[in-house]
Amino acid sequence: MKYLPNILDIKAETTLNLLLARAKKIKTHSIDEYIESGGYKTLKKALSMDPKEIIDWVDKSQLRGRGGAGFPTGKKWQFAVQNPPPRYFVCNADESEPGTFKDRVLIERDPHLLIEGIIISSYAIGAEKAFIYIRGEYPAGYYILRNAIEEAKSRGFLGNNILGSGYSLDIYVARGGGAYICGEETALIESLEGKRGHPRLKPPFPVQKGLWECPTVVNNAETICNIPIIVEKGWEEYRYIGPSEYPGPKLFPVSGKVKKPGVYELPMNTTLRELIFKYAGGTLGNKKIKAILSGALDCFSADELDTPMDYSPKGFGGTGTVIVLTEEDNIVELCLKIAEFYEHESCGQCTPCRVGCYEQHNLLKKIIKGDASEKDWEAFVYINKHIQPTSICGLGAVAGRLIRQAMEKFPKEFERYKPTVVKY
Amino acid sequence: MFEKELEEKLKDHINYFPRKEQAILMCLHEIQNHYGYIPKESLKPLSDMIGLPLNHVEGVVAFYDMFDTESSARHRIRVCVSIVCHFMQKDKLISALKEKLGIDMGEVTEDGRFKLIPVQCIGGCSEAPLFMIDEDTYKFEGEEKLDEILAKYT
Repeated sequence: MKYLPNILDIKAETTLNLLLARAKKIKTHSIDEYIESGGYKTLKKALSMDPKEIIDWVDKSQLRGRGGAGFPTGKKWQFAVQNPPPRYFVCNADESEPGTFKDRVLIERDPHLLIEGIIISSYAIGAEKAFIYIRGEYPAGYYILRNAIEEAKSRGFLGNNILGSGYSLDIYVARGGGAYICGEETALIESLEGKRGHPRLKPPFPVQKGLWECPTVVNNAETICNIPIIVEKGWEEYRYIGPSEYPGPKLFPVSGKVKKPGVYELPMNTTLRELIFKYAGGTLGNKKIKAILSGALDCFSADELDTPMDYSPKGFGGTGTVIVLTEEDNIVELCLKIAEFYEHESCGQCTPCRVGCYEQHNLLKKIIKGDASEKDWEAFVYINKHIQPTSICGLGAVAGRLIRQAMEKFPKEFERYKPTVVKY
Repeated sequence: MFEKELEEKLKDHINYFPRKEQAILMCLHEIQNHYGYIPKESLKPLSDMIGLPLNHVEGVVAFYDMFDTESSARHRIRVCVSIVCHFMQKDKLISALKEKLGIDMGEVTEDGRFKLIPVQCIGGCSEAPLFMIDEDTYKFEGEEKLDEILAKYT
């Protein structure tokens, strides 16, 4: 590659050697290195299979989407193929959740694993065009993917009549422009069509009407990297990786006040405690944990360290993002940052989210200054509660969630900002 | 119209995708890289090339955070002010940058070399606090290292 922007040396460790088999090394793996370590063999196997059989394997593997929602990937594919072609396959690489940097490591270091996954997935759902939507803040990833796609084309893994199978596929890479909302699948599709990233009302879901009103599967980059593993090993063997209800490898990006922050590939029967203390080396200065955040979504307290890192109702769920805060960190200040984030990232399409996130942030600013009256407090609690049920998309649905959880779990932290004298 | 070199690059993006309008964000990145910002006068020729109404192009430019129609700067420093960087001492990085460049957030240095921009999560949080200069991503490793990095951008 001619030119590559500076990238970060993110630490990556694995006990499973699947998703991070290569990416644990800090370097971009070329197509030769990928093929040497067994890459693109699975593609040959997949192309000899009936697409329906691949969908069946993915369904039986119980793979769930790694982009946050945890929806069963096989089910999504089954819905899509019920609708007539042309169908499109889209890789969501718009990773923008605060604290999340797992897809970046896969894209920058092992781009061919992702590309092999996209080719197999597109073949399975019968798509002849696939798109990778990568966030604007990952320019290096964009160049790496463009280059890797050319490499794959030159070896006959992409383009017309792939490996003589009669199946043809083109993959296009599109860059975002710095909008968190474009990670939401319908907003991503709008953006991919060259528009503002405004989420659509669902239903219809993208598997029914997605890109240019055609059936479209949108999968997260990490999810797609599981596909070659499932096809290579077979679904039965894949089910033995980790706990039987939540099989497969999972990436956990760990950041904040820990000794060894980085991306960890582990089975999902790992607990939050093990992840922080056994793998990430415990907290900086051995301070007491105050809170753990899963991005800007959920807030866990130190009493919840035995939470399993899976998709069960009581599991950690989401993208697997872990941000650790310790005793010296202020929870109300955290909530202010969360409110600022949602105000900034609200797309402005629907009023509850546009105005709600703005007011939530404003009132919290007042609260943290100590200027909030009792009425302000009431308004704050009311708005926080009401952004969720009235918004169009998932962003509005979660814009008040972490703050509400923090108020429930850390009432004392908020208490000291409450007015002692009621001002009228 | 655009200068020849830039026009060729824009044409490449437009021809790359199945549909022309898909190239709009790519073209805007390219224009911003070329001029140091997105001049308002560039939007009409772009809308002609892509075949979209001018108000559509203006709407897109306004929506996406990375595009700046306000002030030209040769290099854009994007400093993460999001959750992880905030708790990992982003303020040290910000005050070092402000002091070295003599500007506040959102401002451009007098010589037009740098613009300082606060952004939400850059996505490399294990290395926090983070910043980007143009397309390069860096972690903050003290003031001396920061000087070395800044010196690369003239």
